[in-house]
Amino acid sequence: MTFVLTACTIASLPYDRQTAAIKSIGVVTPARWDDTGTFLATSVGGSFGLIGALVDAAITSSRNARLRTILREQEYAPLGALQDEVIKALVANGYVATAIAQAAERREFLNASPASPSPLDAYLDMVVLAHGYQAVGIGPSAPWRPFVVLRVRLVRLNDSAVLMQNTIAYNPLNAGRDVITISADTDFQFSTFNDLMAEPRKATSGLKTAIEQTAKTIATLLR
Amino acid sequence: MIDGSIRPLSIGAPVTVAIDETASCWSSPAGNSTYAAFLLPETAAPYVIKVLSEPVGRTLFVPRLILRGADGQVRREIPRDMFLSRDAALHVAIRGRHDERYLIVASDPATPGRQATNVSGQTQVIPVIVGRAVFFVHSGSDKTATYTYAHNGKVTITLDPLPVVTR
Repeated sequence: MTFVLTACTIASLPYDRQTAAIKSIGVVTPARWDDTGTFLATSVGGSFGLIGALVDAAITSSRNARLRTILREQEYAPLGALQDEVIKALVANGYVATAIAQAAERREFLNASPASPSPLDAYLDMVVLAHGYQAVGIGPSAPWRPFVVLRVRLVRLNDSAVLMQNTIAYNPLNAGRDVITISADTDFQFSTFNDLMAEPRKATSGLKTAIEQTAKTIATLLR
Repeated sequence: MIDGSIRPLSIGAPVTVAIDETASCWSSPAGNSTYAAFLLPETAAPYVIKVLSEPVGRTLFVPRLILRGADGQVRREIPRDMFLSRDAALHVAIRGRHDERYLIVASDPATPGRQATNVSGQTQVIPVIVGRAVFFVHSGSDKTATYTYAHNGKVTITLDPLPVVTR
């Protein structure tokens, strides 16, 4: 999983709650580019061409599997939690909000309105580009911290008008100017990946905090 | 309430203002605030108002917005907690409304003195020439900085045309 955040941003569009007059929002199952994973921004292998890249890919695959095992054992599903937390935050801000089930394996925003179990004014569409744990390098000065990068959009159902659109990054790396960033909670950081593995509850809590903060930020954009 | 200069704003022309010891000051039941006032354009075209407060050294001006009509009445207030982060800066983007003529960017009276920590990461690629070969060495840096919220600082106001985003 490699990406450059600056290439992942989209045009941001602010929301005006008063003029939009939206009262009820369906929160669609977040789409995801990949399952929960790990991202080491720089490594020894990254400086040694194809062979280095292949070695890196194998190590990353192993880390991904280990992290996913932890989350399964802790019974935490990050993207399901994201949908729930967004609904909770929207309700706290005075909206009626419900879940809309949709296939998660897509890389773009929906291009057609999702079917809704009840009448709604708008739907909230999230595309999670990446989430999990990342480090900028190797060593205690580059700890592993949770991260989330997503695009979010609110679309009015009666005319398909896009009312809000943004890119959000928790624990950003190389964030461009048009990205809303959330600074990582330094209570949840690990000097090495093995340290992260040794504390599965804390590792899960760290990702949970990242998801919750991201959900609150989305709700703030719609206040 | 507004004293001092009222700076006109126009679409596509950002204005940066230093809010310092010469800034106007406003006392309200919520507390004291420094502020800068701006005149919004009269235009039928939809536009976005972006307000950015960037750190000056280790201090950061904590803004809130008050938008008033031509009659001086308050039409809208954007509190401090609607400002979100862009790395170490605080930023908000709102849609302009045609019944609003004045934008006041004021310091939030409750937060100065508090501290906030910002953590971010960056990567660099440095070419290293060894003989006839070039290696690209990738390195990363983790940056942690603590800022103190203040009544003074630097704000940039930008008006942009409302982007057209279609599904």
